[in-house]
Amino acid sequence: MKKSNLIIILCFVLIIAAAASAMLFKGGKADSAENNINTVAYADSEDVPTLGYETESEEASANKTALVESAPAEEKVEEVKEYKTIPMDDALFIGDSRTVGLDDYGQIEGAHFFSDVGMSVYNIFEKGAKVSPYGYVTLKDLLTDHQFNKIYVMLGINEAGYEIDKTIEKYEQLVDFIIEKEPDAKVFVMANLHVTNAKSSDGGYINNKTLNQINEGISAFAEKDNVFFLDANKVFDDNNKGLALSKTGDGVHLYAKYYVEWGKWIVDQTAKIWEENEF
Amino acid sequence: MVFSSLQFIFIFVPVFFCIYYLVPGKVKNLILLMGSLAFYLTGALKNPEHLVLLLLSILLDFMLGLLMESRPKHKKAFLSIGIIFHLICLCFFKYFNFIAGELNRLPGVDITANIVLPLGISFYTFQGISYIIDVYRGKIEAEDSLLKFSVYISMFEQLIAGPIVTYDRIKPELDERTISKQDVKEGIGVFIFGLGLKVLLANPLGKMFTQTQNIGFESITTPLAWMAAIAFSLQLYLDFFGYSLMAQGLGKMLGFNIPQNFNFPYISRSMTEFWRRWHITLGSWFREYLYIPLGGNRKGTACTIRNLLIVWLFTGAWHGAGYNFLLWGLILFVLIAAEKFFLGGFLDRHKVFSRVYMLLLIPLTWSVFAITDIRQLGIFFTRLFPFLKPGFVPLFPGDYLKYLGMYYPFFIIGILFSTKLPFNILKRIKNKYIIRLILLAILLGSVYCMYRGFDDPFLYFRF
Repeated sequence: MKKSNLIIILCFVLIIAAAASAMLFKGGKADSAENNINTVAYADSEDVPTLGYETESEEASANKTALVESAPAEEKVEEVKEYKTIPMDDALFIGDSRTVGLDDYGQIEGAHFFSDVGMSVYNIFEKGAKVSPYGYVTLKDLLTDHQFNKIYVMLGINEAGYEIDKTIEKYEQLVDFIIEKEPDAKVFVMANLHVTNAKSSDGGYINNKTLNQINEGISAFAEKDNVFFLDANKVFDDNNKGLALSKTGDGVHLYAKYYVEWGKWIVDQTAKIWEENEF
Repeated sequence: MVFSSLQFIFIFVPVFFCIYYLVPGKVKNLILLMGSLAFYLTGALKNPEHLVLLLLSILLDFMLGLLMESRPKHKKAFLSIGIIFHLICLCFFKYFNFIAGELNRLPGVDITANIVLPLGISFYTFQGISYIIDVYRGKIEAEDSLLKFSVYISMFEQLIAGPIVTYDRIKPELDERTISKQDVKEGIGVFIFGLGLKVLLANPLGKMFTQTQNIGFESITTPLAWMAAIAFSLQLYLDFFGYSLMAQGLGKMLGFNIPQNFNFPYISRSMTEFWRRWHITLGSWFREYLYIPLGGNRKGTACTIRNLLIVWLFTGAWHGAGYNFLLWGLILFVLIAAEKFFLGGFLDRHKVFSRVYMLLLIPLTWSVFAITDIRQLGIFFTRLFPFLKPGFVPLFPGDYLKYLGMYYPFFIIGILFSTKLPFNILKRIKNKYIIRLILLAILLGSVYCMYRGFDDPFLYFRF
């Protein structure tokens, strides 16, 4: 055999030996990572091309199927009470892309939506939005020129990369601004819906731990007069306190049909609060 | 690491090509091999065994080639060993998860399946098989330099997503190649153009399809379903075409002529013509190494139909593990067989009909390819053809207007770039100064998008 071939073979053997040691090392580490199976199972899809012709993308779907979908949270048997239907044409929803979804698919008759993809407590005063039927407006103009009796706010997921205390502070400034502009309105601060546990453990900023911290921080606003805290996570979570995989395509946003459920839940909760507080 | 990543463009390319151009011609193959293995390793860091598999595959094919020449009496046995090895590897990595998933449906079966598919296995396996078959047939001489053979299999520009190159085509350039300034300039231009097609056009169109999936097919209107099918068709083409152009451009910069993989498939007037223009190197491989050995169309109608069925089922299975891929292959078989025996002449004679025929079939067949869950695929078709399930009341009747408003520029430009028109214009201005400005704009735009996608914390402002 040619000398040059022997050298290449030797190089290959060295690389194979190095790879084998890396595999052994990896094997050792895997044992210690046993308890974190979701993180491990989802860890490999980052560098892989995305389309079917690049068949390597199968890796991602293989990993996805390896995740065991948790069963939806067991329904708690609550006494079902019928509340009086409440009009929503005096309601304003403020939020990010998930509120855009609620606008598109939520079937909340007559409600107004100040929402856009990327909306956050950090840009809400600069970023305008198209609000039917008022056209493109800033939040300040909208609240100055029009009166709303119910104002719902759900922000927080775009803020997940920021310092939590700072986010809560900015959020509170927003709530205070709404109260100042609409002193007669009831303000409903809504908990951020969780993301799936797979999404939560992918190593990014957006994870349920951060969302829970933000939710806990904003729930304290309910101590203010006419401010209420609504948490719909129990409706959409699985048993592991993450958004149920069956209810979302991307791990963050609900499938359209679940926005209907969310909208109905909000209206019901509002009616309940209305009745309980004798508004 | 993929071509459309900042790491590749700003770290790998400058470092690798600096070394590659500085070393003398004799050492270039060695540098190319080292660079290609380093490139592969970045994608296989979490699974180093994949690199081992690649090297073993190279070593085995190389040895089998030499053995077939030195021991011609046993060459059939050597060929069989090679083909069986490749098929076992490919089937195991590609289909194990799928098969285990299906078996797990049976009561009492619980197979843990989390096999990660090695990068590029579908491509380098086919190159390896083509090499040993060609040596067996006597079409080429076995390569006696392991270095050259390793470069052939592992060249980074075609390792992950093709084009699938046969050895006879690339052998002269492996032995000796000249790299002119003009080649390098052209290569850079072709690479940037491919990058633009992928990042600036394919990615946004892909996002549109993904958004439709995230709404849930059961809730979308018929116009939005068609828009999604068209968006996926454009994405798939521009993404893969863009990737192939990047490979060709890099090939030119390295001194290789990588074969063309696409020839305006969306202007085809029949499915047969489409598959002569789409992923040309894969089609050639199946024709050369499966269809013709099976007898092609030389053994009568029944055999031709059987051979077509086998080839198209294999084509479906090669693209992925799932019932939808088999269904997709089966549909293509039916269409191509029908065109071969009676529909082809009619399509030839009726230009308008053939255009409409393909404009409908392209998004429909790609929908079967795109949606891997058969139940979801069924739902999607009831949205494409609402008469299949009457009584649907949309939650958001104006959904298609919303998405049309968001994506119409990408649809228009994507459709335009599926025709010859922009390429004819580019050819005319190829040597003019303005092409540099256009390429610079494409590069800056693409880099900006990649930067936003990979590094910008404001990425999270998308929700």
